[in-house]
Amino acid sequence: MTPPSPTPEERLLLELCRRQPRGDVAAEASAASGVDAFPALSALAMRHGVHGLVLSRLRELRNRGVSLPGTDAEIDETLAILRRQAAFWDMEQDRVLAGLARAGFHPLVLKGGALRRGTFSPVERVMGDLDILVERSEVDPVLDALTGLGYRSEYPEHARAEFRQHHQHDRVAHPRGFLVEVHWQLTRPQDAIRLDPAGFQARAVTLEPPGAPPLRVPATEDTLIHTVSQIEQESVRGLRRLVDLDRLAAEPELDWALVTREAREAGLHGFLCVSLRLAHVLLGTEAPAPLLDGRALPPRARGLISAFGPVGRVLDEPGRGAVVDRHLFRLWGARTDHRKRAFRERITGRGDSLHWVWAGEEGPEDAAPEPSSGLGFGLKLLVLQTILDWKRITRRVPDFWTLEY
Amino acid sequence: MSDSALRVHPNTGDVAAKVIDGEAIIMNLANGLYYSMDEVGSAIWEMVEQSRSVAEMAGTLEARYDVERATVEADVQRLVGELLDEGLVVTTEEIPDAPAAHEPAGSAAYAAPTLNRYDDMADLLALDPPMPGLGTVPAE
Repeated sequence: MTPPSPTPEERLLLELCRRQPRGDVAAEASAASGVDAFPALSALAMRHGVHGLVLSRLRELRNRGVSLPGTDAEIDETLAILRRQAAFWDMEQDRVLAGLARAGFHPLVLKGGALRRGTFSPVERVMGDLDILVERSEVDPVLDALTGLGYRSEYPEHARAEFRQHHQHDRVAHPRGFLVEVHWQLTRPQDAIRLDPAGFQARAVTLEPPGAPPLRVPATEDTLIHTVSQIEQESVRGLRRLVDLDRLAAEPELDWALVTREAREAGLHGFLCVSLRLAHVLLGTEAPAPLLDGRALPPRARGLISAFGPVGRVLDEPGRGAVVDRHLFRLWGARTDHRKRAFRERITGRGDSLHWVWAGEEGPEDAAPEPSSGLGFGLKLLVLQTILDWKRITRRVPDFWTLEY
Repeated sequence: MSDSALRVHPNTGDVAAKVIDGEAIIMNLANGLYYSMDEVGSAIWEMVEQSRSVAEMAGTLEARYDVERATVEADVQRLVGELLDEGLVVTTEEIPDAPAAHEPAGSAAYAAPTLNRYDDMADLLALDPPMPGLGTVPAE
C-alpha cells in the first residue's frame, strides 16, 4: 500500500514536532535543504501554528551539531520576536487574571493560555487569544471587569448579541491587540458534540507558575478531550492541536478510562480514535491500542474514514473542503443512534440544528421539528460517501488504521 | 548613599516584565514602550526584582562570569541608571529578607549588559504570526 507522501519539508516539519526527533532528522533536513529551505520550513511551520516549537527545536539541534536549514542569525532573530510576543502574552494574561481575581472571578484558562504554562514553554506554544471559561451567570460581570482592564468589543451591539446566540463565547479586544474570549460553553449551541463545562470546572487544577499568579486550568483529561473537539471543529487541518494532543497523551498520570468515558458522553469517541491515530502516524503518539486502531468504530466507518485520507487532510491547506470534511467525520464518527439520527436529519435537511436557537427554545430537545428545507447539502455528502465507498471497493487505499510512517 | 549601596526595584505600577529563555522583556504599560535585555541584563533584572543593591548584584555576577569586579560594578551602575531614567525601576530602602545567594565560582563568558528600547509593540502584537507575508496562524 502506498501511504500519502509528505513533501521533504513536511517530513522535516513532522520530525521537528515529535517529542523526541528520530535519528533521521538530519537526513530529512538534507532532503529538504535548498536555497529557500528555511523560509519554506518557517512558512510551513507557521501555517501549522507550530513555528515557536520548530524554531526552538532547530536551535536546540543546531547546538548539538545537527545541520539544519537556516542560519544562526535567521533562527535567533525569529526566536527573539517570538520570545517578546510570548512575554507580552504572559504579562497580559497575568494582568487579566489578576484583575479578574480582584473582581472575585477565577476563570478556567483554556487551550494555549493553559498549555504554554504547563505542557510547553511560552515560546513553543504560540497563542492568538486568551480563552477563559466562566459560569453562564458570570459572563456579563466578567466582561464588565474586562472593560475595566481596557477591553472593548469590536462589534456593534446588535451583531454581538447575534454572535452570542450562535457561539459559546463573546470576544473583546484591547487597543494594544490582545484578545480575550469569554466562554460559557465549550462547544457551539448547534454542535452535536457536547462537552460538560461543569465537569471541567469541578475537575480543574491550579498551576502556580513562577513569578505569575495562580492559574486554574482543566485537568489533563479534560484538556485532551477539548483538544480533540478543536481538532474536529477544524476538520483535522494543521499540526498544532495534534502536537498538543501528543504531549497531553504522554502525561504519565493520564487517566485513559476517564478520557474514554468523557469522549463517549460528549459524542466524540470516534473522533478521539481518529485524532489519536493521526497523532500516532504523524508524531509517534502512544495511546491504548483500542483507541489507536479505532476498533470501537463500526467497520464501515473505519473503512470510509480510511478511504477519506485523514493524513492528507492534516497537511492540506486550511479551509480547503474543511466544512464537508467536518460533517463527514461527524457522520462516520457518531456512535449513538440518536446522534446519528440527528445528524442525518441535519444533512438531509429534515431538521435544522439551529432551529431551536431561532425559535428561542431552551435547547434542541424542546423545539418542534422544522419542515424539510431540501436535499442540497445532504445530497452532496451522500454522493461523496458513495464515491468513497466505490473507491474503497475498487482501489487499494492506504489503511489509515494500520498506517505507520 | 553610595552608588554601590543603591537599591532599586521594578516600578510595578507601570511596568510588567518576564524573563524567557534568558532574555528579559520589560513593558512600560504607561507609554507602550518595551525593552529587552540579554543574558547578563536579565540576570540583573531578576536581582532587581529581589531589591538587591548594586554591590550585591555585582558580587553575584562576578562569581558567575569571567569578569573583573570593577568592570561589572560599573556596568551594573550604568544599567541601573538607564532603568531609572526610563522609569522602569524606582529606588527603595527595603532590604530583602534573604541574603544574596552565594554562587559557586563560574567562568561563563561575560558580555556587558545592554538595555534595548523598542516602540513597535502594537506592530509586533499585530503580527501574529510575527513574520509578515507568511500566512496566518490558525485562530484558537
